[in-house]
Amino acid sequence: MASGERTEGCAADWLARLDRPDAPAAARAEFEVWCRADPLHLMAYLRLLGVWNRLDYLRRPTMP
Amino acid sequence: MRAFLARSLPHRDDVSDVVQESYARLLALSPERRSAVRTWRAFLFATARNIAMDHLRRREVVSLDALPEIHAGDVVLRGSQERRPEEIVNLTQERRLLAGAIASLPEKCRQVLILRKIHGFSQKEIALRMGIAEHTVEKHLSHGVRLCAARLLQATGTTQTEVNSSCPGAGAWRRVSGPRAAPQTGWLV
Repeated sequence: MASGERTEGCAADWLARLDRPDAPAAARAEFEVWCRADPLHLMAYLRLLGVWNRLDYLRRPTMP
Repeated sequence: MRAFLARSLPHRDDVSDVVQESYARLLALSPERRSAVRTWRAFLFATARNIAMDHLRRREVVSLDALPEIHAGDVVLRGSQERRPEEIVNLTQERRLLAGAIASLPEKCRQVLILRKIHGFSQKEIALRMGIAEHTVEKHLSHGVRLCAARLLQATGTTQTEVNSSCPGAGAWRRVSGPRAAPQTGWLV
């Protein structure tokens, strides 16, 4: 499904882009616009965010 | 939930942040913890309340007492305090599954994802360490999370192991967001 692929690609790009603490406010605003444009956008994003967050289970404990 | 938060938070932006973060936290729960949530609505509200409190602490705008109380009894999160033996096993399986997903990535992509998610380096730090552009780090992470999602889908049939049409959580999005905008199979897309 080509458009689904594209949506997932965009969602992944947003995830990586917003993972940067220095992501500009304009990027966040643009992301909101993208999310509101189609419920499938937000769902694709949340689905990948779920995977992204699950990967934290592999996080090494930081030294005290 | 938006109405509930709008009463508690002075800024509209905060409301959408909190709603979004609540869903994110919900989805980030491990499958066994997610299935242990008995009252989805209460869970979402309790999560939203916690996040809202964080927001308010940061902003120090109004007293925390302004937030409506939600009793712990409304939410059952088995294993949040102590883990049962079978949950430890599940967590080990979960880690193995995730480690397998990362291991299946192309080399550079895997290195970047390991530095970011396992060692906790920032994108900037990874770029310096690996001698690559920050933009390239971002691309690797984007590619990596998609491949991991695909790998998890392959391994377990879904990236959200517990969520299916018979799960009470599957309706949570529609219930709190009003119009039935999301398709029935939404979470499985």
